[in-house]
Amino acid sequence: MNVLLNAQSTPIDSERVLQKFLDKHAGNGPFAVAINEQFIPKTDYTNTLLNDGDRIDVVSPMQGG
Amino acid sequence: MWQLADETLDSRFLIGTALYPSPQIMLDAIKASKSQVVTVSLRRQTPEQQGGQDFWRLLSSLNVNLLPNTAGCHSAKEAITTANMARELFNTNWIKLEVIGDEYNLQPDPFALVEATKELIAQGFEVFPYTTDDLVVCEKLVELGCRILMPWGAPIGTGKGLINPYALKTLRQRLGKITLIVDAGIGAPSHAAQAMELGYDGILLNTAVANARDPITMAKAFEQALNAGRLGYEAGIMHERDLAKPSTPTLGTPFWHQQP
Repeated sequence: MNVLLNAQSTPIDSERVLQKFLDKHAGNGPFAVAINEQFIPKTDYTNTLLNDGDRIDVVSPMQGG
Repeated sequence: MWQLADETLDSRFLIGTALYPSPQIMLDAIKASKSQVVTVSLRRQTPEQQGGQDFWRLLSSLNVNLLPNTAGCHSAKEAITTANMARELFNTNWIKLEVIGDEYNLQPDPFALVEATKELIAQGFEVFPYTTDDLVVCEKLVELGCRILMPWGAPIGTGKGLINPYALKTLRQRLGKITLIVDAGIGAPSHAAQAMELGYDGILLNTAVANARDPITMAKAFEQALNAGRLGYEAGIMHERDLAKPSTPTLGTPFWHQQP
């Protein structure tokens, strides 16, 4: 099964639960998550299951105008 | 002192955090600006940026209000999702709502802006919509519950100043109780002063400071220009006249005599 993590194809096997996936793939520091352009609050990480082809966006603070 | 949403602030200068030559210059320029509100954004994580941790540390050291933006969004849905991610990440319900409708001049899409504003206000956000200077669009945004509007002076990054002072003046006259901030297009301190003289409540800019040869000095220049413009507005600017009128009284001056 594969998902798109920040537009990069990423295989997943055992980490179908979002929290486990993020433990493995998210970087250090603060971040927020959307799946298929839908915001996922932190409180839902442990009860969200990933599906094949999901588009996952993991974003961090960045300079802006 | 003035009121921005529920915050009482001293400075009317809102400043961006992008495009500076270095993080240290960004910090020094923001301090020189005396701004109490800085704009920030969200980007996909990359391994090189280490999850934005360095930037986060710098932001935290500033002790200012953060105004996240939805830059890069082209639909109401993208903007709504980005706003929600920003609220969780930056722990604020403030959102500078940008929905771009045209790639060439980065003109806001008024239809998607209104759609996203309606939903975000329902979700409890304090929406700072980046909008054109169109009166009807602005009135619609107010009707939806916006307390703050941010019409453009000119397209983002152009530095052209206030390309339609008539429209901006009309907004000020018609939307008396709304906080109005000119956002985008400001290039020189005189542009900021001009907007403040019209009665605008604040200015949001980034490029004009960050891309200056000396961003720190330019931040000071803008800070002073904003204050000068605001003071001028509060003092009451004289009305223009077509005919000259002597400032020195003519009666009693040497050699004066009544014209026959």
